[in-house]
Amino acid sequence: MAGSGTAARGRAAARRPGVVRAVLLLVVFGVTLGGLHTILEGVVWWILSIVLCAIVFGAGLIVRAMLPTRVLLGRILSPLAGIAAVSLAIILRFSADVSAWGFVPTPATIERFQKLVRDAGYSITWQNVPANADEPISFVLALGVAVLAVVAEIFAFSLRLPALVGLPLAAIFLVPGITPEGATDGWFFAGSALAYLALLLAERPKKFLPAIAVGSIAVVSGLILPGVLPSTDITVTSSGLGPSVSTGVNPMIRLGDDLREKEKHVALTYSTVSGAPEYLRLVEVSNFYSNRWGPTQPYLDPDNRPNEFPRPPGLAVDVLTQREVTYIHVANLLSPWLPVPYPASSVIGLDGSWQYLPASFTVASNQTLARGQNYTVSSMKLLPTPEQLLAAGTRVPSGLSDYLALPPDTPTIIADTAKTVTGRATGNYEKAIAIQEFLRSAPFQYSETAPVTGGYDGTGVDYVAAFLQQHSGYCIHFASAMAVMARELGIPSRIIVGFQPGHLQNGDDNGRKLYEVTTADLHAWPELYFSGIGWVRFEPTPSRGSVPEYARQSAVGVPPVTVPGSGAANPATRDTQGGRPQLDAGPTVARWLTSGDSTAWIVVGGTLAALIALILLPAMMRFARRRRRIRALRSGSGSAASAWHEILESAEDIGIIVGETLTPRGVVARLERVRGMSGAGSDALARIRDAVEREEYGKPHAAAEAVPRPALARDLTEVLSRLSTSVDSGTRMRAALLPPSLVQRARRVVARFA
Amino acid sequence: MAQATDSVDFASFHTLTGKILRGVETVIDGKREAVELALTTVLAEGHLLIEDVPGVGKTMLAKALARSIDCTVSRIQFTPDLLPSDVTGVSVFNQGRGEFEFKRGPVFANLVIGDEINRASPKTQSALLESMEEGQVSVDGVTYPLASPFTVVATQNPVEMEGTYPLPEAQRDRFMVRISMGYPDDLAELAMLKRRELASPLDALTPVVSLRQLSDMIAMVRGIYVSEAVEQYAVSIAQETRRDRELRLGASPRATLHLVRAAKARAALDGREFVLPDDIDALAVPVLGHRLIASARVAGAGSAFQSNSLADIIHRIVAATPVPLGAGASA
Repeated sequence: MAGSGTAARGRAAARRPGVVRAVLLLVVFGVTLGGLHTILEGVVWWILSIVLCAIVFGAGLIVRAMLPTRVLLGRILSPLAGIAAVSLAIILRFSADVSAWGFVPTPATIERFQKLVRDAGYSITWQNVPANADEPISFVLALGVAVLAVVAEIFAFSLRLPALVGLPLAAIFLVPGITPEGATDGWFFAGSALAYLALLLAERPKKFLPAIAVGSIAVVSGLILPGVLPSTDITVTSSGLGPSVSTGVNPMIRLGDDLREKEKHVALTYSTVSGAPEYLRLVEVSNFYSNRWGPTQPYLDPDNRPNEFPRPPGLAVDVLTQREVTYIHVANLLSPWLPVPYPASSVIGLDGSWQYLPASFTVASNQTLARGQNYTVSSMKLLPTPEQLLAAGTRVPSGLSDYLALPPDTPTIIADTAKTVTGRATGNYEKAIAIQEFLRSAPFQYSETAPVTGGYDGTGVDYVAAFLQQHSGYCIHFASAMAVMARELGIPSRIIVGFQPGHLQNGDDNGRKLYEVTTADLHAWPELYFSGIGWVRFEPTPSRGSVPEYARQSAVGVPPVTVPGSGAANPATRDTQGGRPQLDAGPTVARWLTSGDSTAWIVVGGTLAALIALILLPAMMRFARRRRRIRALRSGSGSAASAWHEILESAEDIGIIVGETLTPRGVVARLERVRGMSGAGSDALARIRDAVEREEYGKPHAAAEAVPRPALARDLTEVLSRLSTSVDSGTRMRAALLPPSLVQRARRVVARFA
Repeated sequence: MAQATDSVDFASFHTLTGKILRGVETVIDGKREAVELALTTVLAEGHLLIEDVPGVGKTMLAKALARSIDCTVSRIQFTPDLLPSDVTGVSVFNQGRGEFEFKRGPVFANLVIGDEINRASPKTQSALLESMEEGQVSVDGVTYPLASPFTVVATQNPVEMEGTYPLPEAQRDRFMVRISMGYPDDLAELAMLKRRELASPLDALTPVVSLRQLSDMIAMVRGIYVSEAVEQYAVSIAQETRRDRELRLGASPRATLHLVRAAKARAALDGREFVLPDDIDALAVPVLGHRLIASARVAGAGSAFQSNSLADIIHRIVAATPVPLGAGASA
């Protein structure tokens, strides 16, 4: 007896292939992967990841559902099925064109994968964070997610240790942590932890405390680990220099945040032979097209070793230069860009492989970071005279069109303001001075917070327009405004992100003045091109940095500027921002959705609708089947056997095992033990049983005189309602959403074909 | 069905069988199932083997059944020295008429009670069993048909008892049903004591069914409808016994035939015009149990429990055989 009871329980357990757990697992992965939005842009990568997870967990579910009696075999086969299914999906997604029949891997497929992995390394190094999840990154992400999902599948189902699912989840959380600019999103972290706890509690509702303990450990370790683990593979050569300063590949992204950060972190220290302070450049931003400016992914020519630079572009021999040597010691600056003064002629003493970019004279590496580097830069200090700048006139050499390009939808307020501001000025130099002075004067003011509260804390021509109306911003806004306005006036311009000179320290460096540069010194400024001189720095940001001699109003020879009133910005011009805060076109779904792009809503809505339809699909199929049977009976055409099968399947759905080896009477005997199946319910059941017996086993001609079908339909609905009310609402819900009878039926169909 | 109900319709069939069952039950207390099976066998024209330890009422059941039906009854007490002619009859020379005359043996009766059949020598056993199968007796080249209906109710002690000759499987196969009485529960045993204080209740038993009525009832049972699905079900079970690894000998085709015929009688007793898979289920052990031989492994587990383990095997096979149920699956 005990044996049969155990067997029955075993069967009952086997009948549930773990649908609830699989769904919870999918939710946990969905939320956790959502946390990667801090380093990846858009939602397509997320949908891809979720689909892959669903494939892994779904394949496992199907295998276990098909092997209800062979539990062990099911546990072994389910992750294998997951691996097979997800591999197929990845091949189909990434290499269908080079695979045989789209899914059979060929040598070309392997090559494609190797290339994708290689490209991903490059893409990851050079993309700004949040990065665009391009094909290579998507591929690496897909591989990682597939592995983690299979690991989770093994933990949750094969080993039945769902608590260990925390390990692959922690792995996902580590990803933003090891990315220099990535940060773990607290909300997603909390959501993921909650979903994880739900998974544990759903598994062992009685073991609440252990679940909490395990969950807490997972949560805490998830929080601590990213901070403890080394950020990159580069050894920390400058320990004791405090927390790291991360500029990332695109320092523009976090510049505002770093400036607003109350606590300053030392980025580097330097000293110069002359003792004069230096602007240190990191990156050049010259493409004003996208809605989020940043350095373009550079091509690093291995031959461009920074031990010897070419002559700066456009610099004529008659321009006075002053030789300078700068000794730089970088602290915890996590940046693939090297802080270097302009224009450098050589950088020596670097560790690792670094290359200069001939156009911008910036120095970068795709293998290492600036952190801990000690190097010496020889550079020239350009000392053009106002006369030389005036002499440049409006001439622009060819080959600089990239530095003049503006997106076609650039708000007209920028051009209008630029023309108003420059007024009668003729030469490019006079115009540049006019713009700089315009931006340095009232009503413009320096504010690190106003753009955030005003909703225009971003980069792009629209943000520049907003800034020109709001008159408040920080270096990015001033530099962007000047650069865009200059281009509107035909002056080649670019934005440089780097550090302003920093502060003199008490100590010295081998008798030289020592300057310390912190996060508060992160800065952006425009460089304008003048024929015969080349790129020249301007400083339009009030109260920051220093205005170079040749651009100072007080200096001899610099053309005077009368700054027009604040009415420069024509209020009648197109209001591109309106009152609505325009968020940075950032990576989160929320931002994406608030961007007003209706396709976003369609994609998300469609995905949600498809997901809901997918979840409801079994329920709908089961419901349609039941309704078809009852309708057929009401119309007098259905058979008693169909009513009987409906009862059998409904019983199966709520977990009553009535196999096909039971006679109708055997089934009735079992169902009469069901709570609430007494009186009218029992009578109805007996009437249906009689009808089935007559129809199935009685004389063929006698079937006609059997119970009228509509009465049978009434009896059927009576029995079904008793069955459904006999169980708790949870079971009822599961029976409705994931009816086991459907799985059984699918198995029978498969068995018939097999 | 129409012909069958000419003389005995369903209602009277039910009344008559009810009377028989009630009558027999005044003698055999608390053994409804055994009594019903016995009646089932008689109505299905089969032979009944009652197997159990001495003193549980085997002979009493056979006698009570015989008393309830107004038919010729004979009783043979099988002993080791019983000769075949003691069963079938013997040719005796009639000096007055100057010729051999056949003296009919006890087998010439509608209901033959063979008591302790396994105490006789195999030779005598087979004399009875051959007549059971063929419905006739041949002596000295002359064939004498047996009475109709003809039912043998044999009792036997379990084979382990002393002084028994176990029935060979070929002969066991001729019995349609084997039942086992089992001990009565305490209430039934108490009631039995009370009832027998003054007189044997067997004496009070009077026939309730005439021979003619019995023949009609048997005819009616023959007319019970067996659907193809149920036949298929019976065949499936029989086939499965032949395939089962725990069985050395499976059910014979005769066993299948007996199973379906007994199921018809059971359906009729239940007041149905058609056989259900449930009838097959219920009769699988009584009809098949004595014919199957467990494989050495199962038998070796303890021969004292052999019939039990055989019943388990049959139950298992029945429980694993899908019940045919129409095309509603796709409707």
